[in-house]
Amino acid sequence: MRIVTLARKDLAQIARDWKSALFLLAMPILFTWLFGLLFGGGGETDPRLPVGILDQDPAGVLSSHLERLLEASDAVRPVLLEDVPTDELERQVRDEKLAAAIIVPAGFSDETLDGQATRLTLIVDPNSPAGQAADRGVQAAVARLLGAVEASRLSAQGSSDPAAVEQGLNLAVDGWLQPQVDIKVERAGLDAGYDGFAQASAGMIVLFAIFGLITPGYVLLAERQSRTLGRMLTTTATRTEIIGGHVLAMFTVGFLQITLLTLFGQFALGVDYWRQPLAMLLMIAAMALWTASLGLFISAISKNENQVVLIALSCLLVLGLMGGAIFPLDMTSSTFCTIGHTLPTAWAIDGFQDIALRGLSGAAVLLPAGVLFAYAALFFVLAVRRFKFE
Amino acid sequence: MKALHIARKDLYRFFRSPFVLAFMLVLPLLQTGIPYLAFGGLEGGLNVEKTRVSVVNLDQPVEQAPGFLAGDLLLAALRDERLSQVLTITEMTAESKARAAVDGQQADVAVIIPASFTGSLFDDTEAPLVLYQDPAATLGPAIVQEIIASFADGFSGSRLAVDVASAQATARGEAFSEAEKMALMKQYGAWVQSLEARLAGPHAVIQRQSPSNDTDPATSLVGPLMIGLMVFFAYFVGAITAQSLIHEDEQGTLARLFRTATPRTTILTGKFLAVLGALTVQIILLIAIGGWLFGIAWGDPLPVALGGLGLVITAAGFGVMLMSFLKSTRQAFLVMGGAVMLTGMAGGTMTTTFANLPPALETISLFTPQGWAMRALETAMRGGTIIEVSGSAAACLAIALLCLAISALKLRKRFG
Repeated sequence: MRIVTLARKDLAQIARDWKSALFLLAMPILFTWLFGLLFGGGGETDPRLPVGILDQDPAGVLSSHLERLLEASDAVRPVLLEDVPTDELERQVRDEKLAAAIIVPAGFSDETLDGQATRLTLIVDPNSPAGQAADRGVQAAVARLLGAVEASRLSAQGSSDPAAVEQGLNLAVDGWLQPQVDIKVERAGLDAGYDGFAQASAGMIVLFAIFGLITPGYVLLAERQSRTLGRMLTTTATRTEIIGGHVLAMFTVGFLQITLLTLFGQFALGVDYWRQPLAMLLMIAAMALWTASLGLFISAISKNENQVVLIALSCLLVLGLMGGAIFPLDMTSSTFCTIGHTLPTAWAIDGFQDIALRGLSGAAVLLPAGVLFAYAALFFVLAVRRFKFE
Repeated sequence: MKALHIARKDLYRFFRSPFVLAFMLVLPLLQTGIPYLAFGGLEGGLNVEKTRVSVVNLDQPVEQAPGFLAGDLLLAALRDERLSQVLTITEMTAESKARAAVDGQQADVAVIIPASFTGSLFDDTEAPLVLYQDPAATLGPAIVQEIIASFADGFSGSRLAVDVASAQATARGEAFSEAEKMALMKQYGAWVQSLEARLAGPHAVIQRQSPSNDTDPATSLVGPLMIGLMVFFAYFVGAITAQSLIHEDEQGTLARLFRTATPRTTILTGKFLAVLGALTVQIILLIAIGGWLFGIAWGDPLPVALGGLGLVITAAGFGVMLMSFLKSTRQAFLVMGGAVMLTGMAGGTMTTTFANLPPALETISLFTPQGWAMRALETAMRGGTIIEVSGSAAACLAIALLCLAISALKLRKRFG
């Protein structure tokens, strides 16, 4: 009972400070929204990469066909440019106004239709992810254009009638807009299609659950600095009750914060966290217990408020970045990915995504939750060994 | 001269504080170093985990082309030696098993080749190739989709050639036999074999030209990332160091200083010079370490120096302004953290590595000091001249003057 009373005191102290809400709720909501947009959430704007076309062969038929094929691409969208010098095009690509720029040289159509090897120029940064994606999108469109030229050449059966070739070309390009072999992409689980918010939300919850430790950490530290912790030992309260009270307060803060953020994800962003309520509660409890143990550990080893902030921020950066809270681990190098998957943050993200993205049954979160409980026990033992009342 | 003494004393204290040093150097370098490692900075390139693909080939032969199975060709293409570094292929006997492998996270993506896949190339039936993927996986399924799309285009093209020839023959009132169709498909198939060389070989139809001098993808990623982090943490350092004003006020040493013969403006100028000094050291060190450790090419020295100066003066002005609104150091971290994080986020310090950002985000960044400091340094990094950087640097100066004017009003009211 004393544990609950002590926890209530800590919670009242945290609740009195309106600034706590900034870090516990307002920031994670804003960041989830921002990163959700960046990962392609919202779906209102054209997510395709802009690719400039400088047509120096306006009388040729192929440049307009290339533009149509680029327009039909899922990866890139054409942006028509007029009278732009090459260095200006390079600048626009370098400044990321355009993901790439194509220069269609004069005579490109006639020479290509004659079977000559005329080259398009593609200005693109091969080292940037956007540049690489734009390059692949342009290459696919150019391959289709050349395929249309070849189809019209083959169908003309050696006829040199330009009208027949042009008609064949038009038919072939029209055909490419609805190719015969279609690819249907299905997502396992909830089959809700790609959602940037679903990708970003779990990572942000995990990240800010660590960040949220700063305020409860301050409270515990303030008690040690003011010697309140030491004085409490002169009362009938035991060491276990005092530590338990603080851990319970940290756990409650984490539990409420994560619950509110998942409810925000559910109702504002449409991420279906609560389709498995029991599994979700288990994951939240495991995550909150781990962050509470981490919070206790940080408070135990910190000598002043600045150290609480520093250690919490360092944990946030190392555990958050390496655990896949900002960028998905499957995009990283093999070694980094393997190391990242050993961290509690990666397990927490896996557990939340098992429910909300993969649509797995409740049993699927037993392993991630179990790993988090094990990490919680580890940090708790380390914290208690380092804990000082004076 | 006295202002310099005060600045020197403050600087000495800043550089002995692990807290200030962490925000100056450790945290920005840590946050840059982790993605550098993640994206293969030490491995000389990004060597991602192999994508686990379960394939079920249900394709059946058709009368028109005995012995030909498009599904087998697709399977062989996925098993190609050149793809063995990126894909691990497991063949399944049933669609349900392939899907179950993805559901059970034994595979990242399942490729389902339908029974009528070959047949669909000869008639108008629809038989899409199905990719069933783990929704939490990002890169692997995208790679598989790209490989399959390129392969599928070969088939679509041959069918297209037949359709075009057939339509033209019909228009001419001529018949187009099954044998002619098969011959045409084979001709197109042979052309597709040569396409790869035409697209990627030394005489490729696309001549690629890079606007950047970077040759290492990890460096190319880390450069813009470090600009964002340098700007983000410079504003923290500006605010943390400006906090010394409140700290001294709380301890009573500021009141004692004000009772000496030194004018208040000299004391406050000294404090401001210390903030400027700490930021200058931070930016010089981060630029030097970033270049040495991560190989970042920051740009020509003069434009970089101008961009760095813009950052130093806005971060100092913003930090002093923020502190002029606070009453105690207990409030400081939360308010400072909130303000710096919000303006930093709006200023684009955390989104430097994302392409195709919504235009609204770019507009919002113009209303933050971080946005202008970012512009100045990014322009320098992209090879901008001193004239090109000067516009953003001038905006930084204007913002810094505005912040200082607001601070002066607040501090005058506070310290009389």
